[in-house]
Amino acid sequence: MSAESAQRQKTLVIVTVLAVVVIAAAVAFYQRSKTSDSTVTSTPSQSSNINSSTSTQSNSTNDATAEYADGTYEATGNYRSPGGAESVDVSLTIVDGVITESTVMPSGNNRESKEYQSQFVSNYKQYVVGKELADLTLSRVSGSSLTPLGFNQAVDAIRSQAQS
Amino acid sequence: MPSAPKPSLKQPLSTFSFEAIGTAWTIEFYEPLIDPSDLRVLIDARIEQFDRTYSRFRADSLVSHIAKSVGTYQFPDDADLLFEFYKRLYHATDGLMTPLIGSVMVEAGYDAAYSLQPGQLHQPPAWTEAMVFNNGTLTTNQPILLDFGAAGKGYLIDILGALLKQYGITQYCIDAGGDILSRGNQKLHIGLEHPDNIGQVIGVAELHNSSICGSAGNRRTWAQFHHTINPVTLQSPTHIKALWTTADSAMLADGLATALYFTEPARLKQSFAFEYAIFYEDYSLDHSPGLTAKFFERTA
Repeated sequence: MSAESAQRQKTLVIVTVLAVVVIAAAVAFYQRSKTSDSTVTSTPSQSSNINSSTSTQSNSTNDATAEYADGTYEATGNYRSPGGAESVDVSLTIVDGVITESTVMPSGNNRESKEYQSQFVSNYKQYVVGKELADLTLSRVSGSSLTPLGFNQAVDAIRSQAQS
Repeated sequence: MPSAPKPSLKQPLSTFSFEAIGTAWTIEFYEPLIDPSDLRVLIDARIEQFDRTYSRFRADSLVSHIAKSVGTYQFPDDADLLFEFYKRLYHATDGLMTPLIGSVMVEAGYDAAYSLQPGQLHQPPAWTEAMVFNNGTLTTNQPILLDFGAAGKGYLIDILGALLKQYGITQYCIDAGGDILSRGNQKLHIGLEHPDNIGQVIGVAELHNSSICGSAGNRRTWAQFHHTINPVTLQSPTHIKALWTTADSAMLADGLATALYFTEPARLKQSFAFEYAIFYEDYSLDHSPGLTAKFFERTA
């Protein structure tokens, strides 16, 4: 992957992230205009600052599966609220094409903005998937406690009774 | 893409593996042991002493003895801390997390013989109605079956940690069936097991000089129940698929892992110092900002 295309894809991620932030900001804005009976008609204006680029960068050249270069992407979404200029910081970490970490940090300036932004953050649900143990280096694994032999035998016995 | 070499983690110098209190244990040592066989004897004896007091799965335990008749019973010195912690959890969860759940577990079929045949379930009595614990002495007002399954294992892990420290060992990791206490300089990467597929993990926590405990309804499952039953609804909670807690002690982490089935994390955070990750029924994940872990996110 050339440096240029990596940069292009990085920009794509940031644009996607910004779109999410802007949509969320717009929703919050719309709800506010509904409840306060104000006559706001325009969508919030926005500009974007890209604060930092990748912290780590894979130097793969022929990887067909990874859509985005590894690294941590950070972006700030700016928008204008009736209370003034506001921003939301978003950070994503991508490893092997998978988002392994994401944070959305509200940084509202006034009380109301803080409230809307924290609503957005709390509604921003993170969904997770499993990754094969074989692909990871781990010291130990934690889950539900391993069961004693007696318990497993009892479960097996009940299962075979149910099947017979 | 040529896969990057996996980071190497510090390897233990020696390991004890054994089964006790109904689960598999691994104790890893990151420093040389002077007399491993002597140490192993001490560990076994301490576990036996704990089990003989707190296990409801053996007929000769103090807990089984208490269940037979109303009276006053003397507990060993280690009971004060355990009862005090259960009392705090009891209050923080409005009584939902209670050591009096033993009778309910037995009615549901989770008894010493693992009959696993649910009968009619009855709500357990309130703490103050049933018993008074003071300075190592328990007085019961009615026959009660105590169950220390929620925090007892964590407490035993801490007790063994203290035993190792007494023995001069400071670099170790105790893993009791996925509930883990690590002390020393080593940083461990703990996979957070996917409750649907034990060959996978949904994230990795970094553990350094603290404890992580996990809880999920995927292993100790029978009929409509798993290892945790709500004493009011008399059902096993289903809104959480799995959860993990980290705290300075294994007792704290273990107990809170059960409390989180009943009470919002924000409320428990007011009373206890811990971090958490909760994997909900809809595959969404919530974790405290202070948790040192990464998760594998679904991108679509």
